[in-house]
Amino acid sequence: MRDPRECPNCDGALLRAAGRMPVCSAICAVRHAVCHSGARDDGNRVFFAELSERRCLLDQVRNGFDMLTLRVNDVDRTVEVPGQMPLLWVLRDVLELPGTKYGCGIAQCGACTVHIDGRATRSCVVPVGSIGKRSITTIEGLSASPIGRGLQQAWLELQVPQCGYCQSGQLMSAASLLASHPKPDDALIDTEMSGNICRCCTYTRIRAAIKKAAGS
Amino acid sequence: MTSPCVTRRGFLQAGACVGGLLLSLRLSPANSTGPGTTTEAAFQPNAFITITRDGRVTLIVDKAEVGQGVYTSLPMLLAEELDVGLDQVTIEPAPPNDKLYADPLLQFQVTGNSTSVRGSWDRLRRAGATARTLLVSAAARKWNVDIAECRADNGKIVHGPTGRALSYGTLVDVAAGLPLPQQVGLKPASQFRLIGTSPQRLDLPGKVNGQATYGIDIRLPAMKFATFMACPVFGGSLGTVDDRAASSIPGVYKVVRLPDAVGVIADNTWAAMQGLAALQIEWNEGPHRRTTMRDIVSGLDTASQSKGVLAHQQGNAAEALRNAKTKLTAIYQMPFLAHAPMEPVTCVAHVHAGRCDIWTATQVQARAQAAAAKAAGIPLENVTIHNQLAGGAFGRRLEVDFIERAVQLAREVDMPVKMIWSREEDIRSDLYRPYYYDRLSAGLDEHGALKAWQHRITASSVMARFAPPALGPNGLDPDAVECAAQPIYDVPNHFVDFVRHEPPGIPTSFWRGVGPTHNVFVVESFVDECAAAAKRDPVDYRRTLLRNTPRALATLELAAQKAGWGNKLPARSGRGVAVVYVFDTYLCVVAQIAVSAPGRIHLERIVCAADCGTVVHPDNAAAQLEGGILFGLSAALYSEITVNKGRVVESNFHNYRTLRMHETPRMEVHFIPSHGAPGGLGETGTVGAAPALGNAIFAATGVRLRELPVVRHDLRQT
Repeated sequence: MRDPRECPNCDGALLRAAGRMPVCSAICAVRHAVCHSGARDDGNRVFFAELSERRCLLDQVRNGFDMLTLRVNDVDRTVEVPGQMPLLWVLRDVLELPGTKYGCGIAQCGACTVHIDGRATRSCVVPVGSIGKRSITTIEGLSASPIGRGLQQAWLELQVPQCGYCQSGQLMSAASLLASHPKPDDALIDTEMSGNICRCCTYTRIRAAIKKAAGS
Repeated sequence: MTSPCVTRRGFLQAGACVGGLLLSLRLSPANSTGPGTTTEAAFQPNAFITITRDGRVTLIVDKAEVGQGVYTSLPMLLAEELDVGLDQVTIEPAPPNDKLYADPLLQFQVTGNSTSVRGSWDRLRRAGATARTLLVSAAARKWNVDIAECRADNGKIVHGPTGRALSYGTLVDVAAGLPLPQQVGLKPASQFRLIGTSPQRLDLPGKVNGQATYGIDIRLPAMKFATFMACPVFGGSLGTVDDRAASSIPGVYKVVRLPDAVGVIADNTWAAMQGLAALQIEWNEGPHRRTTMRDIVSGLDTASQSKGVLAHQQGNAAEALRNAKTKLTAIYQMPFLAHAPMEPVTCVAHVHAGRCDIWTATQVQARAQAAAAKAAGIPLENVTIHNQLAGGAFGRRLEVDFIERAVQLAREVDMPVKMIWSREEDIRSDLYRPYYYDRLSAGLDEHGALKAWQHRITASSVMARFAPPALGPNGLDPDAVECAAQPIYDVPNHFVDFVRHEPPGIPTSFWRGVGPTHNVFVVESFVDECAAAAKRDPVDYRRTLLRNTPRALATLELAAQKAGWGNKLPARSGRGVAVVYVFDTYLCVVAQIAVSAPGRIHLERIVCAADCGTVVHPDNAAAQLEGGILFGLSAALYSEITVNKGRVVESNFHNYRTLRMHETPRMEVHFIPSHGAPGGLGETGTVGAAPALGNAIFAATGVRLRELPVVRHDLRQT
């Protein structure tokens, strides 16, 4: 069982924000119960995902706009958006950083993965108002770190991407993995990367590229 | 993008164009009368090259880059014969034009059916060779030397005896004034510099740093963001909409009512999605509001009991079946599937001043243009399609429904509108891979040899909706029977027919691997049943049946050897084999799996061997097979779309499952060396995946799966 603060989906952000969003709190409780039960089968996540569909999303947002200063790729950016707006859409539509992708909106596919304080986080379920002063890194800022550059180089050498749409999220998840485990084995790669879907199924090359970047 | 300045007459014309050499290609199909013939009907133009004075070579790629690598493999064909490096080539996506850019195999502008490399193999190399020949002539003229003393070398023409050199850019003005060569020589394989090597794909750098632009990433001045929802019940229409709550959401700009759908236009995607969720909608659910899967399957079952349209006949299958020593019968069923590319349906439309601009990823540029023109109510020539990188396609972008939808929203406002469907809408308003219902019978003689085969396919006809002229006699859908009606196995009495039955209200479409993905699963599974009935090893049984198909046999032998076929495995482990001939490629897949006591499948190892003729870019070719096979395994294991009360039940990746990293097996791809014309690879692996898996499950558990997906079945140890 993992610590909820290490949740790869929301980094605990939903829990912290729960006080402001009663429905989100309920969703989050289910999410964490499921995510941290150790269950592999995504069928177990049905209840959460059903909850988070349109009906529930509606209940989350009723507040007005907030003036927020976000630290994105080492630059302070000020935005005026509802605090409940997911970070994903703030990045894409407001800050014009479209490298972070929309895939599912319910933390099931990982295409929207960014780093918050270095930790891989699904930006589609993180209310932007919950981030505070924590530092956000997107794919556009990945090459600032040696781990990021190493992964990008390995991705190119092994010709990992096909359509490429999910690869921003894959790279961000991989970078978070290598930051905490510099020499991951196959089992760890499987565990940490299983939240990122690739419909082109480039998984074997992703696995190989992570190991290449890790020098293992 | 530069505008195409392609002339419409002549086999191949060169002329000055934007300060350079322009070759408008009107290359002949293989069976035409050859150079010099100039009738419109005999020659289909299909691409063009521009070489500017700075030596830059631009290739307009008529194919959509959907991940399969055409933005690299097609330039390689050109650069090989033109004798330039890939770093000297610029790629531009083709504008819509069914005349200029018709696929030589499919006769319209389309990226599909795994035709990109095999269709371009001849015409792009000829394009490069023609340009090179003209440049050599131009240099010879400038130097006043014999053409035979000049040769092309990496963007320059070199005069052999003196070593003088002129870059292509300095020759374009002279070359543009020269008469076209009547014949051009193509390099023999022994002289290839690029073909057969694996340079880094040209589209990769942007795909690892977030800079690649997909349709969903388009940003235009003053652009609004929209989302969309169709009536969730197939065939239903919009009743009343109360938009008071939606209109009060900050950022919501406009609610658009369409006859069978609603759209919300807003300042950002999130506000649009919130607005849509806040609408109080009453749908008129229409005639299909009570339809369930039970109705659909029972309709197919009933239809499958009537005689179908003949698809293939050899010998007398009915009589041979009567005389057979052993008879087998089976019903196979394959589910509806959604495409679910990672980039959900997205289209940017700007309807303004009698014009319409579309930014999206489409596999059918000209159809997209026609759809937008119709939806905007303007002439075709007033529509511009800006084709973008696709975040996956798998057949979804052969359809233009979403382009019409975007225009329907955009025409309501003055500014450009980016319409993004939620993943839920993407899955629930898809056009689905048909549900297939197959009846089979086989007859074996006293030695177990396969003597009779009957196969009736019952399903909707995608082709009848998509391209009615492509239907065969009596309405035979060639896609629905492909690979069933062209057996690779030598069975003396063989009968295949097709019954068209449309499920109520459910739109169907092409899905990666198209008809063959279904048919090869059924055929290869049932051949495995025959082998089991004959108490023969599945590889050995196929070996006999493939005695007249040596290329298929060679892939079988290679894959079996590399996979260690016949080596003993632990209990509840097994290997399954499937042999495929499709898209001009021969492929054999061997899957090795283990089934746990609770019935979970562990994919351990996949080995495949392919004979796809010349392998243009081996690393990318292997990637297509790796990804294609896993894509097929993903669907076979987990995916199905079901219908209840006339609506799709599945909605997102939690209940429309796909393969993930921790489920991915070790993979090996082997190519049989060949200098033959290339075969297709984008879909071939997908075709071979499910039957290899099903046969491996049988080998491991003794359970024969005749319905997909695998997760429907209880494989617990008993």
